[in-house]
Amino acid sequence: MTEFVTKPAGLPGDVSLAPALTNTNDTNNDTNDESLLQALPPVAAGFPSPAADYQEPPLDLAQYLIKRPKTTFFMRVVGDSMTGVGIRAGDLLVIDRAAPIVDRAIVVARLGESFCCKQLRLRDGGTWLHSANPAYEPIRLAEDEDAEIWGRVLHAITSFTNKLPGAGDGQ
Amino acid sequence: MSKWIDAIALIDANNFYASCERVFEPRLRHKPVIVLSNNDGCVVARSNEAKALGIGMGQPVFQLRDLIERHDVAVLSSNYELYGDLSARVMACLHEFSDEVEEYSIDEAFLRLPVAAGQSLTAFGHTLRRQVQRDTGIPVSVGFATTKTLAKVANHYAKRSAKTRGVLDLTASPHLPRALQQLPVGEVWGIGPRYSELLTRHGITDALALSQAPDDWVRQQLTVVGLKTVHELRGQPCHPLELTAPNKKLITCSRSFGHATADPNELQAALAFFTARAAEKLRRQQLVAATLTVFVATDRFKPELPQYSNSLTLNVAPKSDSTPELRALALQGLARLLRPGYAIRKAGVTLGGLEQASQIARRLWDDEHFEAQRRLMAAVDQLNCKWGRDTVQCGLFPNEGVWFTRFGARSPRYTTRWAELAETQ
Repeated sequence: MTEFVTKPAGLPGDVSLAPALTNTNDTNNDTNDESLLQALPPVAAGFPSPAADYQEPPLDLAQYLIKRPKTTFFMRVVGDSMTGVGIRAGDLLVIDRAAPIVDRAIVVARLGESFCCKQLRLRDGGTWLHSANPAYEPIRLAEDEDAEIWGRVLHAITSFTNKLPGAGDGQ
Repeated sequence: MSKWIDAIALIDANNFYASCERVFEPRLRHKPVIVLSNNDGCVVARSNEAKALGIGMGQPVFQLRDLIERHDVAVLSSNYELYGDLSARVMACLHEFSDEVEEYSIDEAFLRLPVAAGQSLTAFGHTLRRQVQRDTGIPVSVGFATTKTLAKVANHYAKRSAKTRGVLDLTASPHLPRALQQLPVGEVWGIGPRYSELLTRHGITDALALSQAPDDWVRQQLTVVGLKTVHELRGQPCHPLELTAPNKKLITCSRSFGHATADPNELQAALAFFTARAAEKLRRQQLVAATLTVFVATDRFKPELPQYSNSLTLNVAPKSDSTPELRALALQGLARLLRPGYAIRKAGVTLGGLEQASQIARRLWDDEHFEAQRRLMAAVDQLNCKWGRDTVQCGLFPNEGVWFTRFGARSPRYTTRWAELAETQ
């Protein structure tokens, strides 16, 4: 399929007229429809870098943290029920709704009308939500409990400089 | 050897905007919820509980004051950033189920699936529902049939019947004739209020009767487009899927012509048509375009003829989703591209620089009314913007204290703003 080269337009009302790839006024059979006009990279002046052949893209934190962008969400932690595993108030949670929900997974659950971050335990024939703070008792979920697992917590990010906007004082 | 058929699935979200609001706000789960239009004037979405209270789509909200108070209806301003983001996630999930997906609107998609004739798709439909729910929190209904129009019928019943639990397979169902017979003719995809009235006057009040109407009569009364609808009701696919690439940043409409032409009138008509189609797709996805590209090409398989291919990109300023505006630009572009003496075989229009149309009123009615409504709402919005929020309102809007201050509340942009994340304890 013939490729079309267009330059992006700039100011309002501006228009870009792309050079035609095969703009011949005659019936020259040698015209090559498949040729693609490409901008040639500028010629560098000076010494070539010895690292040029080894260049890799820099480490991408988002790629490390998020395997499935379309099922990954973020929430902010309030409260201290999971400090024992290193989740603190003010942290950013990276939550994947499509990650497998298994025994001992750290999850965000909807319990009634609010969200809580807990460790899921499947034990003693029941489903439990454990906190990581002795001040909080484990919660056993009844068969008909109005609760569901919202998603699995992949990471908790504590920032010492970046306070998430909207976080209240003391959090 | 078993015969394979192409099944068409129509998946659409249940009460999409209200469902989006519920993903991050559990307190809304069982309440009547309504979402308001851009200037908080009219209802653009309702949860089932709100529908049960008799709240109508498009109803001006000032009429609902008592109802809202008495039944503690949750009233929210539209949160297009949230809806657009969750829509993209639902669509991404659907792309995992089929290579052939048409993202029809912000909350609907068609899929094409090869299936062995006679095999039931119900279990597959439930799997798909569960995965969308798991991945995004959005409940959807799924209808299967052999044509798009019938898939819409299947989806209609899937959504409303308690027995179906959200999935209905009509691809090879003995229940299809009865399903059509119980469907009012105005509920058929492509039959708007005008045609519905016409058909009723001629005694055709349900979809089955419509499917049995004679071709010649249908073509005469409903045009060839109506005839395609009738053929689709009979199980003959006439509307191919217009596939959406999984990572779409552009909306294109283009065709190769049956015969090459250098006639400017023919080319203008073609470009006008392509632009209208592309603009429809734009509006259905609640997007606006910032650039419009026109391209033309001669038949490259006839190298003995003069060859010419070229394209031109214009800025759409201000960004637009309006067919007349985009068409005017496309024709301008065409005029500059055309060179006499070249027989054009392929042409098209591409809309780019796509963005959520958060400032443009939502589409409430079918395309026939959309343009007029959109212009009206855009004018209202502009006046309100200039002179203050309630300068122009839909009808009379009581200004008394308590009730008034409960509006204008858009939920946080949970998925697009760091400052507006949901909280968990």
